Amino acid sequence: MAGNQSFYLSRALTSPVRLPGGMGRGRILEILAKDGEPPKVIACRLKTPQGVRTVAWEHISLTKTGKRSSSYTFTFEQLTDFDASEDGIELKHLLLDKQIMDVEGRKIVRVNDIRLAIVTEGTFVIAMDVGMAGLLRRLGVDSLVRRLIEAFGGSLSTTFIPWSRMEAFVPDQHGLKLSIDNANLLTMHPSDLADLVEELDRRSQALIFKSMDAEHAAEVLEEMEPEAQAQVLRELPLELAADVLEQMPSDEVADILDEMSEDKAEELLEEMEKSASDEVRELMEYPDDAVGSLMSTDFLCFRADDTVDMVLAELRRQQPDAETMYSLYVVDGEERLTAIVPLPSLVVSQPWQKLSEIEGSKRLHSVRDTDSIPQLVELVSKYSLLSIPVIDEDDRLVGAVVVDDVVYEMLKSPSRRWRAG
Amino acid sequence: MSLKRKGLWKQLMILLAIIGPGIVTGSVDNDVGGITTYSVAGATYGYHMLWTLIPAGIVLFLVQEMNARMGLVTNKGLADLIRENAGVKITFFIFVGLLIADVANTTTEFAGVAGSMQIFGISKYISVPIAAIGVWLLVVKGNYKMAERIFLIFSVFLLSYVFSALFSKPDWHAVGTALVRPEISWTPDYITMVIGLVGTTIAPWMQFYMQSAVIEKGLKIEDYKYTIIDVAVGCVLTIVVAFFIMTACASTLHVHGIHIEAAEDAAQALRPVAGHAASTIFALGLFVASIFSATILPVATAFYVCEAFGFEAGIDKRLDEAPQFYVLFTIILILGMGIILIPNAPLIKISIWSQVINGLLLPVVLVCMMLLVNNREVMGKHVNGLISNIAGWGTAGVLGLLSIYLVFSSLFG
Repeated sequence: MAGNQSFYLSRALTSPVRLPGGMGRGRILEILAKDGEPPKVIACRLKTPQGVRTVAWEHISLTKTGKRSSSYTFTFEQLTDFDASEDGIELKHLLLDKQIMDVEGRKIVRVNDIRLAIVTEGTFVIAMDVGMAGLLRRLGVDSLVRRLIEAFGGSLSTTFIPWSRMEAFVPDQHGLKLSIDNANLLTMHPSDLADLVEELDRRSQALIFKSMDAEHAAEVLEEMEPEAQAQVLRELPLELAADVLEQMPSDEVADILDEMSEDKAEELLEEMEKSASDEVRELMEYPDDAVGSLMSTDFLCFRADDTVDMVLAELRRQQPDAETMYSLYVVDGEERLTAIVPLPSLVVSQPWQKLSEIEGSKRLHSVRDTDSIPQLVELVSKYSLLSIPVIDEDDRLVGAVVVDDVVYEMLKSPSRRWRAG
Repeated sequence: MSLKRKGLWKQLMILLAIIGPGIVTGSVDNDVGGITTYSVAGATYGYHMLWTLIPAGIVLFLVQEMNARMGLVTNKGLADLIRENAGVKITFFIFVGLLIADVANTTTEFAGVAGSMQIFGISKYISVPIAAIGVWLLVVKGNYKMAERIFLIFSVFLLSYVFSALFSKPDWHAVGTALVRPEISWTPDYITMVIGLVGTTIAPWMQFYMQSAVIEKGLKIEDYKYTIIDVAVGCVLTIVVAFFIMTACASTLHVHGIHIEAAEDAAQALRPVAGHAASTIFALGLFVASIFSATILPVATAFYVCEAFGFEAGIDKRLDEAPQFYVLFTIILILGMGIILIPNAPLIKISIWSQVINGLLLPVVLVCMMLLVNNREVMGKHVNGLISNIAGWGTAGVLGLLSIYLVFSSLFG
């Protein structure tokens, strides 16, 4: 099944279903989900030319057609009869059109439609559609009305209540109970729904990570938000988690471990190779507002008498991230920073030239690891630097800060997507 | 002995606490449309239409009993149940139709206010807005208990028609004969009138109001035996009032060969033949009935629309607890009042069209009701018995056919 697809119950109930092996076409009469957080679809009642069958929700794929992907076709590769002894919530019968109430039992609105999402681990109920668009969809006029509204420059949006806000599900009685206040209830819009699916998918992410090699896993993990990273690592076996962390830049590892409990972080550090964990430990010792907590320890440094040719060969071999190549640092025998060579200067130089002979290698902006982040931000913005080396009290090069990290720090957004560059 | 008497007293007190929804719903039945139909029937056919009130009363009782039972068992309104069991499409069809019909109905109720007050020389531009403000305050500021008390007083006021009839000195012997051996003439006009009489007794919105009122009053299935009495008293009251309206018009207007078209015509026509008192009482009765229905109709409409969408509703709720309910109520009230105040508004057309829509929807609503009341998942052990089912389906079938006939005759007749 393809990842991160979502669909509406009302459409599923009216969409054609392709059955395997010349059985012809069918229709979904009811979808059954297992009560959970959120409920997972386990089976469906299927009307086939051979009669009504209850089959497991497996070997099924969804293709969307039409301009706005509003027509679906479900395809069953294989039909497996569902063991009826397992109990499921009948979504159409028990949820659709039912009353939603707040915790005090006040009526709020009805369930006009149900949004489900297909993620790696299965299909889940993610939200109740309580908006106008849901009603129009049920009446079968949503695309017509949408076109009309858009012709007049408007847009038809709908309102969702995510399943996670549902406190109790009381079939037979009065419907669904919600756990939050009436006032801030109807504020969720379709764009937020993507986050919900992402959240849902995290549960299945751990499973995927287990199936990947450490290097690949590290790449994927790096793209995730810190909280999610921590969650995935908690789910993984200790050994594998440590292997993944060894593949990641130490500043990233430090950030992730900061999100975790001290015990768990220590456990992971113990499990990692000493050289890798030592770097991380050093980083983690810096106070939050010090440059050291922000810097990356993965940087490229060369000697003054290295030739351009050698440097380029080394770059080709290592294939570092673009951001770490902005500037190449030159150190002496004592690891002290002596020059910075911008990548453009390197590229336009002759292969045999030594780094010390390249022009533009004189200007030297750097910060100390103990400097405060505001100082760093000021320096970076003042000189429009793409990256800046970090030195310790003995002027030794200990790390580097790239501009993305600075921007990220300024925005104070937890999203790591800023790093993509 | 004294213990038994005490038990009887206690039961009477419980009964008094529980009665209300049935009597109120029954009484509102005698709204402007009802009074007009009864007056015209009496004036045109004399006592020979009185017999129709007996089957009308029985049908009314059957339908109201089912509504009360559904409300008591499910604790949900009829609109709730239709939405939950029939889905969006049928619900949408029913409620868009009902909404239009009931705005039109509210308009005719305000026409009754205007007509009856005009008899006392009060302009509709004064009477209608004042009535509307009064109604609004009662519903928005009042609570259910207070509103129900006022409604019950209204119901008692409607008995004034008894005096109106007595003043017009009916021929009781002829009344008795007509009830036992009515002269039924199988002419299209006569049949149309019979249909009109039965049809005006059962309006779709009543089913919704009855069920919602039972719930708002907080009655439970344990109260069923008292609720039955409430429904029965309401039906009898309705039929009695209808009987005396018809009798009053039959013994005066029919005898003198006076033709009328509206209820206020009847009040005016009564003056020369039955005296000032009879005329005044008739007009006052019409006024009370109009105000009464102009209150209940918008409430009922707001109730079922909110139920269908799942919004909080009820007279007992505060404005901030049930905003959609009160906004809807206010809009319907303003629309009804506004249309009346337009000079030369086509009131007769509005009234005919609202009857047509009601007529079309009545069989749909009744069939939904019959299906729901027989659904074990909804009603548990309180599903209809065999006799209720025969009577219920019979009623739905006959009313369905009658309604279709009425619709066609209104459109093409």
